[in-house]
Amino acid sequence: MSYSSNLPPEIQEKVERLAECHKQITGLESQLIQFKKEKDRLEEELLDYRVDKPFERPNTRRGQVAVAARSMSIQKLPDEMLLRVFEYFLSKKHRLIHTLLLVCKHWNHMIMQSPRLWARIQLSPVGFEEYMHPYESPPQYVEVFIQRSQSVLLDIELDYSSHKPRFEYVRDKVLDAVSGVSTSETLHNQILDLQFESPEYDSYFQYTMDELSTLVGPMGANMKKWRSLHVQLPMHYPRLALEILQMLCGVASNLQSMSLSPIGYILDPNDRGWFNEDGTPLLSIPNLRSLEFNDWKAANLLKDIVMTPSTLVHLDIWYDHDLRGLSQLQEFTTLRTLTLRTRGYCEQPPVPENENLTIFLPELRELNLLEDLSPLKAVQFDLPSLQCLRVGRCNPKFGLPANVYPEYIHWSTHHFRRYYNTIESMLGVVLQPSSRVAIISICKISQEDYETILEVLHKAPDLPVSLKTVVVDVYKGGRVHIDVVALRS
Amino acid sequence: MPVLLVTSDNEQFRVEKVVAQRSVLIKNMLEDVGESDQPIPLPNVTAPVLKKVLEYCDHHQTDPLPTGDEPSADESRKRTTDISEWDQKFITVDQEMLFEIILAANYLDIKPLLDVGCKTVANMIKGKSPEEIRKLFNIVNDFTPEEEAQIKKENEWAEDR
Repeated sequence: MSYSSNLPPEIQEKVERLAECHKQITGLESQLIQFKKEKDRLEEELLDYRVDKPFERPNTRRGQVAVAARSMSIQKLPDEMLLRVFEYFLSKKHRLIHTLLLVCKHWNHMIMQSPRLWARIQLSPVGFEEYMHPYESPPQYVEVFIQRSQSVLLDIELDYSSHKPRFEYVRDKVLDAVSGVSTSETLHNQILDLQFESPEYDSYFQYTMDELSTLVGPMGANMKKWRSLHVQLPMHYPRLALEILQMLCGVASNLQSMSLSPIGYILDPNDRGWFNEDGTPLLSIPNLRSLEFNDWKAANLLKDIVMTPSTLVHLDIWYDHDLRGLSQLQEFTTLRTLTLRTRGYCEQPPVPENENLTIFLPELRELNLLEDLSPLKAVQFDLPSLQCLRVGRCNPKFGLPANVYPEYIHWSTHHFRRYYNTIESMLGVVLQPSSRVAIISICKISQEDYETILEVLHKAPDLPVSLKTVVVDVYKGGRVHIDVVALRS
Repeated sequence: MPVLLVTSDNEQFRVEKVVAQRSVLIKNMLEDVGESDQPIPLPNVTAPVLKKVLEYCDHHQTDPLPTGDEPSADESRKRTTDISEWDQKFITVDQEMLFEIILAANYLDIKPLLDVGCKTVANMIKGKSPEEIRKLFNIVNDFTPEEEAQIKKENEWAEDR
């Protein structure tokens, strides 16, 4: 603001006073800004000490942070992360992908442009009671997924565990109905001799089998698109199980991973079932990297299924208590992870078939031992690259096999069981001077067993130099890091 | 040896190396600079989010690190949305913080934390209709009724079950 230079003195005095007011205001405003800044900073720093903490942080000084936090929404997640969310959402029931398609245009577009999301097929025949559609045209579900997955290889899950052939389905329904009014054994046997007709069930059954047939393709044409295959066969209907298994016939050249529910019960020694007369399998898998075989007869079938042992990297397999066939593992020299499940034995376990057997697996990084470990005591392991040993689901009297020297040990326990007698022997094996163990992690142990662990560690004459940490998750007691340095001193 | 981390809003966090190294990004940076007192700038993470992330890293500091192997072919089959008890409590935060944690876990390359975040969002969607999902995340339905009907028609296979 400017004023005339020829003002009367009393007016000039007022002009000068006004200028002074402006100067004072500017100075005070500047101070006010400084005070406000200091106030905001102090409020922020002291926020965690406030008893009346507001729900949201003050957003004056941290405007950028608070605004950014408030405006973050699912729509701002990068597509890659949103797709990861969708994969988890679809993990149990993949057909729910249609729900996601209907949310908004962005999600719809992203899903339709992501062949990877369509590269998963889950076939699990719905019960006949829920099957409402008349069987008129070939099933579309498999065709849609094969088409929309484009060139991406398929991950396939077949769950026929509760599927029934028509005869058994109708017979079981009749038996259920009759047993409510009569317990006559004669009547029961007469029903078993009846022949049942049900065109509706035959139509439904044909529908489910055609789905599988589409997945295989004419002359096994679609099998080259398979990346992983997980099969659950009907447990109580061997003929149907065999029929399904024999449909999976051809060359699956890109199949890397397979898991099978028990098939030993349907493979009669005289009728090779899934194998040709010369012993070669109907399903040829030249590049299998991972096999999970939940069958006590697995060892007998392992060589037949894995045609090229040098490709196998991950193996999860059951052995019977006599460890029959365990020596075959020697051939799988490229294994990196191995899960051994040994069938429990209520009485005195028999002497394993191959006593003093040595298993040398030069590439093995991770060994998981589950169920009954006692037969493995007779085995000498030579695992020079072993990093991680996991032990779980064992009875409280288990013992670790000798000569297993991992860097990391994880032991899962049951908090309702007591491991008092086991802890000393287990830690005795683990804490040998030659041990390479750096971390021991024990999960869900009871308070009493935790105290036993402390006692054993305190008494240990010579803790390995490599040992850095012992972590114990005490049931209802939180996680405890045991100070190894203090133990040594 | 502690490591000094500096967030986008210029806050400093001093943490044990073993904790900081749960982040593959930080682990690689530490390997690149060698033994040094240099603070590590994290320009994509704010202080409140880093505080949460470090809480996770501290709790999981003794877990075995991912092997770095390629994901096996059956990884997707074994994928579940199960989350451990501690992780569930940890991730019980408001939506905004949840998405910030996911972004930070991705940037810092902490795969187990990224999985916990994505599983949590997946669990929030479970059992909901498209309309309920929109409401949950404040998403606008930008389909016309005709477009919606067309999508339903194209995906009739889903009605089989």
